[in-house]
Amino acid sequence: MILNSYAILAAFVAVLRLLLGLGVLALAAGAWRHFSRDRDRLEDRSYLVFLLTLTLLVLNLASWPLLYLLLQSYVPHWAGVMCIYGVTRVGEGSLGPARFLPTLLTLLQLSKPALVFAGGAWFVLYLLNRRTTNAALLGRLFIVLLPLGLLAAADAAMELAYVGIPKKEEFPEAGCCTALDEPADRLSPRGLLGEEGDWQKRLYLAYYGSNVALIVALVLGARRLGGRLSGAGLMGLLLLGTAALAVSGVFLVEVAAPTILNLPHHHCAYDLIPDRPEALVAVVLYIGGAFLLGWGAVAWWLGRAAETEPFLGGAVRRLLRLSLCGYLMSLAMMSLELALA
Amino acid sequence: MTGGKSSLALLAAGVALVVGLPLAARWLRARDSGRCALDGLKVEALYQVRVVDAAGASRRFCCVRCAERWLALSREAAAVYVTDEATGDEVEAGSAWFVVSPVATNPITRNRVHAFRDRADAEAHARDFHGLVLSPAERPLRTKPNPDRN
Repeated sequence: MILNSYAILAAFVAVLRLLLGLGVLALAAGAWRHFSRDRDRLEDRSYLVFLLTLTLLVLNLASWPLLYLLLQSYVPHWAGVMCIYGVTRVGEGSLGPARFLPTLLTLLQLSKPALVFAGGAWFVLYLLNRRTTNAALLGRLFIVLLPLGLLAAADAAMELAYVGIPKKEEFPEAGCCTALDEPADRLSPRGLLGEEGDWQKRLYLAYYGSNVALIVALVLGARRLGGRLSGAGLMGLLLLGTAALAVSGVFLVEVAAPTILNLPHHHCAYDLIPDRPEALVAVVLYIGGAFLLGWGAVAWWLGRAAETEPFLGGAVRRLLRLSLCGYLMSLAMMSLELALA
Repeated sequence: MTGGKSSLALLAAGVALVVGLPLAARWLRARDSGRCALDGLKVEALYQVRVVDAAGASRRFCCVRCAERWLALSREAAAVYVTDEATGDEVEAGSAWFVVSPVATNPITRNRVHAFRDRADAEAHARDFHGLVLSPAERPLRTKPNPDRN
């Protein structure tokens, strides 16, 4: 175990999230079970549950950047590690408990954004529910809390396991044929698409093409919502947003990070954290845009009730406009970063 | 504040963030001249390798291994200079002597190739650390044949 201030903070937040996640899960499950029988009692109990959930959402959001600060703080602890990528590979091929570290980190890097998205989706429904006079979405709020509490508890448990597992690698005895410099290659990032070919131009085209198409579609979608919006239209926006997100992720690793870092053969977006933190603002804005688009879809499909009908379209339109702002600002900022590099 | 004014203020804040932050960061950041052009690691003066391209631009590398990898990937070098480990002076790679030894010059890249201006220094390093002086045919960082060798 490597104990530094980030590890202690991450462990403390994880313990809080584990307790809150389990508490929210138990309270939501109990409340939902008695939902049809005693609605008044349920509404009384909802104040405590929702207060705990809001605290959990804030802690989940804080734990995402905290994970990367923790990983960055671990970099100097291994001689062969040059950046967070190396830390994510520590334990690979090891025989001891450290062999679980890469899998735990992969899962944590997936569960953090999933948690923030799920928490935001719940919060959007919560805001819609507050605008109704009879708490029309109360039952759905409790249903969404079940996977949210479970995911938060699982994420916190994994984080505690990651912090707690000794980071000591134990490799099998090496024979005389073992490559002497293998660890240096194992801990260094390699490009996804190789070094040859004209894929950079294609990635530029794909990145700008998909994102401009998404922005145009969002402008049109946000305008139409005032009148009528079809579920198919929103689904189309979601699919386009997912495709643009995938293309932008590859573009970030293969083109943007090497260009902004001025290291054309070093394909590692993790290096932006210590070396070009301002470029991360563009990444955060992009993720914000993608999440807002998703939350708009969640509001449209899960927030529909007789009481929400008068204002649902306007609420979704606001979310799509905010999503549009996120995408526009991210695209402009990334373009400026690339031009200045 | 009216809705129009608040929208204008938000727009101004957005533009300031999008344009101002990258410009301010670039202005504040000192030029990263002390970092390896391949992987961004800090360049130790004693092991520095400098590659000059056809346009005359110089790139610095933390070790022979990184410079070799760069040359393999970029294929653009008019001249390569290594640092003599005995004196710290820069030497043209074509006239340097190289030794492979168990001593790593960089814990991350684990480069084990050492450069020297004089053959005697190279042989002394090889003797002291159980290394091997590379023959002209095995020499790394070759850009063009050097008729002066041998």
